[in-house]
Amino acid sequence: MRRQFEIDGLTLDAALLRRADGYALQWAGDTQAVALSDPRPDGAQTLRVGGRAVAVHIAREGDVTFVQIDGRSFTVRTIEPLTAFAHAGAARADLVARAPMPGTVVSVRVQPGANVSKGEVLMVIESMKLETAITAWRDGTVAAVHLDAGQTFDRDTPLVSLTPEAAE
Amino acid sequence: MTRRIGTVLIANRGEIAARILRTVQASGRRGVVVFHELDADSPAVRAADSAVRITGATPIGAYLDAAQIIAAARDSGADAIHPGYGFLAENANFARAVADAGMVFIGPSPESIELMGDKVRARAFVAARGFPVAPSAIEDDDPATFPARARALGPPLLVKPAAGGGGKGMRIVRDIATLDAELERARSEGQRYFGDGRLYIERYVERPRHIEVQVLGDRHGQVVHLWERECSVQRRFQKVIEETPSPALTPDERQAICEAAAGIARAAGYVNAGTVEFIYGGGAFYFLEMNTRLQVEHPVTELVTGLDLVAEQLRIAEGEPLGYAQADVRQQGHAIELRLYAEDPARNHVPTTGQVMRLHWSEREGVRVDSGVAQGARISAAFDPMLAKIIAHGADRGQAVARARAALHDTVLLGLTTNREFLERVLADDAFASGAIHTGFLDERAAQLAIPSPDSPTLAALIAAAALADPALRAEADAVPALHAAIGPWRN
Repeated sequence: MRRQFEIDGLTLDAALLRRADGYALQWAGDTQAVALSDPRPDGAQTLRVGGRAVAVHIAREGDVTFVQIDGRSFTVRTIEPLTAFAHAGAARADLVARAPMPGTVVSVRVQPGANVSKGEVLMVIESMKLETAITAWRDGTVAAVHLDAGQTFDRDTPLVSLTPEAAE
Repeated sequence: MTRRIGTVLIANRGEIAARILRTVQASGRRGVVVFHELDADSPAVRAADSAVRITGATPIGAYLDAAQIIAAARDSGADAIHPGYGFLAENANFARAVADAGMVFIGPSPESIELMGDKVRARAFVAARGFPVAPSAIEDDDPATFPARARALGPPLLVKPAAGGGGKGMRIVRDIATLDAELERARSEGQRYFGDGRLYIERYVERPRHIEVQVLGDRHGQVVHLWERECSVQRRFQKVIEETPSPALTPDERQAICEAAAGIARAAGYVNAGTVEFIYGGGAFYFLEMNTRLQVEHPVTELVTGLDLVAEQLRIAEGEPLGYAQADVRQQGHAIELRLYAEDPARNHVPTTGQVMRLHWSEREGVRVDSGVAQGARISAAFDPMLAKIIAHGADRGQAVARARAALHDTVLLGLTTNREFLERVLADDAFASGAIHTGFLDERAAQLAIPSPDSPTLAALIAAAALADPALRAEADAVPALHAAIGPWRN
């Protein structure tokens, strides 16, 4: 029941505990009773933390919880301890170029199997009405081109992958 | 010559397609929309009497495909095409092609679109008729002497692409020594965005305010203005908040700027709805450009005048006379519009994507919401990031702003990051409240407007909400007997 919660760039460790009369949240050296009501007809739920009650709106998608509280919206990512460990161990960032922001593919300049040199243009994308070239970040061979011209993508979508570098 | 329009095809998407459709249907006409498959579940497609799917190499390409849209209009029995804003709205060839296909283009004549679409020609037209334009140097007049003429104007200068619009390729030059380098850069941007590297330069007005005037002209030569809108709250030359009346103008200045706008439209023989944009600063105003279409921010004008601009556009397109005089157009109360964008204010307003998982708009008195999204919609990067416009009307500016703030607070939108809280911070800002705004306002007040990090009680509430809403996490907690759980931290 221990998790990491990513909020606004912070990673926070907390635990949800079962109590005879409900749940408690253990965070930052403090343990407080917490409760969440069922949604009202307008979708709002009452959240109690210690002696405080606030109306919240909550939506979930995978490990992300969207919470609106007092007119502000937040994105909370819940990370299981095992997943957190796996993320740290699998930093294969040299394999794939990911979209820096949402956009559209303008053109694809390489095919899988192509040998490319560092700086060579792999793909041209358009975001915010500006064209940006995605270039090879090292010498290598194109393993996959993940999108075709005209396709749209979200932030962090894989664009082009290179094959792993040969062991030295 | 009048011609009844029974069926209107709307060549647009999003909130403006829904907005136009509302008036088309309310006036007893049939509304047809075209849509790319990404918009298949949009409010406009759902509400339309009929919807025609269009395709394109890119989603935007579909909405720019004049031939496909005209064919869809003909096949669906449309008498007229309303282009909305953006896409084909200011494309003279499209307006001509619509007429050639035997339909009515709901907008001005192709000649008006062409005149005002060429910023250099438009400016010369306006200046020649005695209306105020900023001191300037136009490259086309004599390319050889262009840099020298620009220097003679004296800094600060604003360099613009002659074929431009929307703020692209514009550069401010404060140090005349950098002029040549900036000209080169502006030329290459103009070439890239507009396929045209010609430039012109204006004296730059420091802390300028953007004030524009809505005009309407009928086919019988009558032109009226519908008062001004101030649109100075901008980021990257894109408007974020618009209001009317402008808090900057004295009654005399308001009269002068509105009459200048109507005069320009009259001189151009302008028909249908249009907007004359001015730069205002230091008590003077200069013609900037004329937009030959319905504007995004038209609702604030509707709320203070009580006129439905789309209904007026339809009547004008049918050949009816306006039927009222300038003195009949009153400006009552104050209205303000907030553009809700799918963008992240903390990351330099880059667009965001995601699914609209929960959506609720304010239903408060004096509040209108023009939205192009429904709950469940996937917001992609394919189109403009504007999701909706929240518009509030009040007896005065204070009440309109208070209602707008309350409406923002009422809004529930979960699933993607938006600029909602940023808008709330702007409305709550002291400088904004005093009306001391200008086009550099958001940049100048960036530090004060930055959204603060959540405090500790908020973080605790967010963690609690995420934890309690997670059935797997609750089940895990339930599996640990209460007695052991109570020991808590020492179990590890």
